[in-house]
Amino acid sequence: MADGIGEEMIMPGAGFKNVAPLVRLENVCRTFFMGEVEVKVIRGVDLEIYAGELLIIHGESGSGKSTLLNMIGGIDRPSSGIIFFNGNELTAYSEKELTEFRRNQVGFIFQFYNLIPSLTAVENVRVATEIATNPMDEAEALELVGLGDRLDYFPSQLSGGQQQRVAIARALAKRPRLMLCDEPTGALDHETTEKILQLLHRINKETETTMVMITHSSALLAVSDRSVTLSDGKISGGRHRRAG
Amino acid sequence: MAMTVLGRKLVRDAAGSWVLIVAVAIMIAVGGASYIAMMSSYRNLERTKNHFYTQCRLADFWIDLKKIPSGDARRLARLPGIAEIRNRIQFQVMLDFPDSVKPVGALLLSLPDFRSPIVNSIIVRKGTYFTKEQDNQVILSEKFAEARNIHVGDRVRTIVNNQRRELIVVGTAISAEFVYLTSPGSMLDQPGSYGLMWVKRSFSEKILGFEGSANSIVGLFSGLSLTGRQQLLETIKREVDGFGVFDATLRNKQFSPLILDAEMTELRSMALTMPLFFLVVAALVLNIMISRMVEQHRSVIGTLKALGYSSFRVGMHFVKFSVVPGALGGVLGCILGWVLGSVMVEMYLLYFSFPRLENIIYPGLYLAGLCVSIGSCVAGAMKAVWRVVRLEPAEAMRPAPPPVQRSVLVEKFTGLWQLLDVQWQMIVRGVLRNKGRTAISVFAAATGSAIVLLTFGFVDSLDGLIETQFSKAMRSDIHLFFGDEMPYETLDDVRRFPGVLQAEPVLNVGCSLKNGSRKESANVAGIRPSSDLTTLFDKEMREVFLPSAGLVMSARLMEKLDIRPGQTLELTPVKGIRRTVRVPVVQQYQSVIGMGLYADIHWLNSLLKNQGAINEVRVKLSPDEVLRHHFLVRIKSLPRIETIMDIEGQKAAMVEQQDRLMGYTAILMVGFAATIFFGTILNTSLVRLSELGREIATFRTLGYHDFEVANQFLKENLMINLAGTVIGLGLGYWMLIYTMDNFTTDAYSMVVYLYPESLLYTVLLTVLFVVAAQLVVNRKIKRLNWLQALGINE
Ligand SMILES: Nc1ncnc2c1ncn2[C@@H]1O[C@H](COP(=O)(O)OP(=O)(O)OP(=O)(O)O)[C@@H](O)[C@H]1O
Ligand SMILES: [Mg+2]
Repeated sequence: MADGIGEEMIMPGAGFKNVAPLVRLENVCRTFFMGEVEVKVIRGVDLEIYAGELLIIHGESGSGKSTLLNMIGGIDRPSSGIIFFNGNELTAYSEKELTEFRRNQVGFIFQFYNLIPSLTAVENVRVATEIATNPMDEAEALELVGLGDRLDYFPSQLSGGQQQRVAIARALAKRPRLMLCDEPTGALDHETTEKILQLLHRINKETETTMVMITHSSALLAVSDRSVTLSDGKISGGRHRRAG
Repeated sequence: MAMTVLGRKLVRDAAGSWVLIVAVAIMIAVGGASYIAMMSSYRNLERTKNHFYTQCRLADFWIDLKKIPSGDARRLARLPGIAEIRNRIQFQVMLDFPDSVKPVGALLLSLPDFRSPIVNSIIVRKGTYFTKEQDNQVILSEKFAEARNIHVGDRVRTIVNNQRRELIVVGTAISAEFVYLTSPGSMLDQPGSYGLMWVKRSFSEKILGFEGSANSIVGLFSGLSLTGRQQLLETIKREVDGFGVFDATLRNKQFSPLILDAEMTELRSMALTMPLFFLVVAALVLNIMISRMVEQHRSVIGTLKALGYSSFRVGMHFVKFSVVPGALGGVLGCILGWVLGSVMVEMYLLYFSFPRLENIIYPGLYLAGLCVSIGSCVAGAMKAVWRVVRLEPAEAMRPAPPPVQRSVLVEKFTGLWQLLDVQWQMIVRGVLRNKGRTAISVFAAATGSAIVLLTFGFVDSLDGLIETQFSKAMRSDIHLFFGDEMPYETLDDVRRFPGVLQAEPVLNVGCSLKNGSRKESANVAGIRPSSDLTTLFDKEMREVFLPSAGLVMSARLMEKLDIRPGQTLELTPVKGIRRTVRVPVVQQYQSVIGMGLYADIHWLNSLLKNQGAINEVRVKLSPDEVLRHHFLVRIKSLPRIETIMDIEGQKAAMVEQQDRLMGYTAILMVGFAATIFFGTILNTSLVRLSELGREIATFRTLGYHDFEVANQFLKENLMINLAGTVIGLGLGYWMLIYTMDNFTTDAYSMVVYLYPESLLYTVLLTVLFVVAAQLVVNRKIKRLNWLQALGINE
């Protein structure tokens, strides 16, 4: 069990580096095997993510951003290296503990929304809240993303932007410590992208949720706390807006 | 309890694919129903049988003799191991009904004048047991009285011991000794032409000249193992040897218990095998369906796991989906099983006489049926689900790795491959790439067509049996049996009757046969060597010629005696001078009823040191109705006739049985097979349709019509199902042999017949099923939103 998680008070605001990071990656590698071929996608990443910050990951297509994010969120396991979450060794978690971790600590937002087609908006949110320990009301979450009047719509009856907002509500509603967004606006037009990113930014600020986001859009760069670039399977520097 | 969101998703998904679910559920229902119906019929029969046997105190052994003083018979009770002994009188008699020209016979049996708790007692159904009022009271078997419309108080005229007697009917009854009753030498019950007549012991002694004696002993053992019983029976036989023992049988060899037990054994083995076919096919088809579904839900599975659902919970969600057709089919199966069970009870009541036979609901059995139904579905789904659910969520969310696009083997034969058009190339690739699915489809088609072929083969075999038995083997119309051996002149008397085209002599000799340690009793029929009316055939339907010396023996009897043509055995006649002789067994033939033996009548007579004796005359009658009528009226007055066997009547009864029972059974079985074809074809086609969505869309944009697309499915289904049918023909034939073997008992031997048309019909039915299922597939293709299929292209 992820005991102890959530008990410690995380100080928001400036000076992230002075407190223990929420997530720490130590020499994380990930190799895929495709038949005979071995593809080394992540080749030793060290990274610290601080509570409450909005971290942006850059990188070329195929550089391994999604792979990295998936490992942070506990939906994929590194080939080697250690990941700590809140001081606990995530990489040593059992299947059961990892499920528990995903259930209560992480909120995912994917590029293609990944809503369940046969469930309505409110039911799609309920899929997450039903198993979470301290969730929001589903309607409230949808209200937050501006979909209070679309509760009983099926995904096929919603626009792309609306679907992504349902996905955001789904991630939000379980009040996760960590929100992971993998190109949340990748499938959306420019105007909608702006709105969604603003929404995510607002959530980050208002709920003090730690947020890691992969995005090619520059819209958030200005307001993000920090950004790192992934290339050659390694983190190659980045911009630290508030640190130091 | 409020339904979870996943529960709601389940309901919606299920509603969305109801055609597939119903198709699987029906297969399950058929499997469950046949299990429940047959198993509860078995239990119904067993319950009733045990109850009936106990109530009537059914004997453990039967001994038929020429004549024994009652005192000598009673003395047997002193032998250790015998609990009770009863002696009685039994005779074959003829009845005379003014309204019936056809001969009517009965077995006359004595019962105590006053009711007492005896071995082989009866249960009175209408009227009463004997009263003190008249001597000539008779109780008739219930079915016989009903078929002939005889009521209590009516009088029936019989010819007993060459004397006409009028008997007063005081009641009708049933007996555990005759649950199944046929006239001697017949396969089928003909309730109107053969029955049982129970008369007072005092009356039977008087009219048959049996004062103070009997010709039948029945009794109960006290405990004893089967070998103990066999040994004791031998002892009894030796004790009463001086009184002319004709036959001695234990209960398990006695005709009616034997037939009932054989039927029950067959029923149980069918109950345990037949449902299996349906359940296995259903499970496999469900596996195809769930595999596809899980494949389509790959990213949903990944998402759910990313949201914090455990693999187990996600897996259970899909397994629960498989419970839907299982439960639906199980419940349907219970209902259908109950209905079928009731029909089977009715059917058994047509053939068997029981005090009552009810279709009882056995909760355990129904529950087992339900569990097996659901279980087979869950088993079918489990593997498919687990394969995807155990993936890491990140992996599951990625589109499935494309199947390795290796070229299939045939593509290497470029010349051949180029001959196929694009559609055929797609079909061949599809069939060969999805090997598992193709194998399941072929297996299902094989099972379905095997069931069809088995059904047709069964009908053919009964038909063939009727044909060989009555048109080829026995071309006579009437067999006259005499109570005693008659001089050869009797044959001439019969020949002088009106309407007789041909009459041939037969001498029947009851014998005990011994080969080493093996012993059997059987009847040797001595016939004319080049008989015009009786022909023997071997298994391959080649004529068997009667040797001038030696025996022709039925295959079953040879097996029992462990003897081969050319060897000799010891033969002891049970009547007359019981001198043991060694005789050769010359040839084997295929008998239908009983374990027969044939020999040259002259040889048999000389063996017995007889002067041309006969005790049966087989007659071929003129087709002229008037002459036949005259003949039938005249023979009733022929002295010493014991039984008249109406071969024509038997044939008519067989044909009727064939039409009545086999007709319904065949329709039912073909219907069952149809569910297998339908369920499988619908499922695989719809799964294929969803896989090929994009290809189909491409074809449509290229200007193909929907029927051209549909044709591709038709071709594919025809190819797979015809391949399956070819296997099914072999499988069905094997099942037919096995089933016929199972039906073969000491009483009847079944031979496999399969007409070539049946093979053709089976194939045609397969085509019909494929085309019918195609109609549903066509509708789906028509409605397919192919533009969307193209649009989904991410
Ligand atoms: N399950 C897998 N099996 C094999 N290879 C994989 C797997 N997942 C990712 N890869 C490979 O790893 C590399 C990185 O993939 P990843 O999806 O992390 O890239 P990305 O940076 O997110 O790219 P994009 O910006 O296009 O989303 C790719 O070359 C990809 O083919
Ligand atoms: Mg990516």
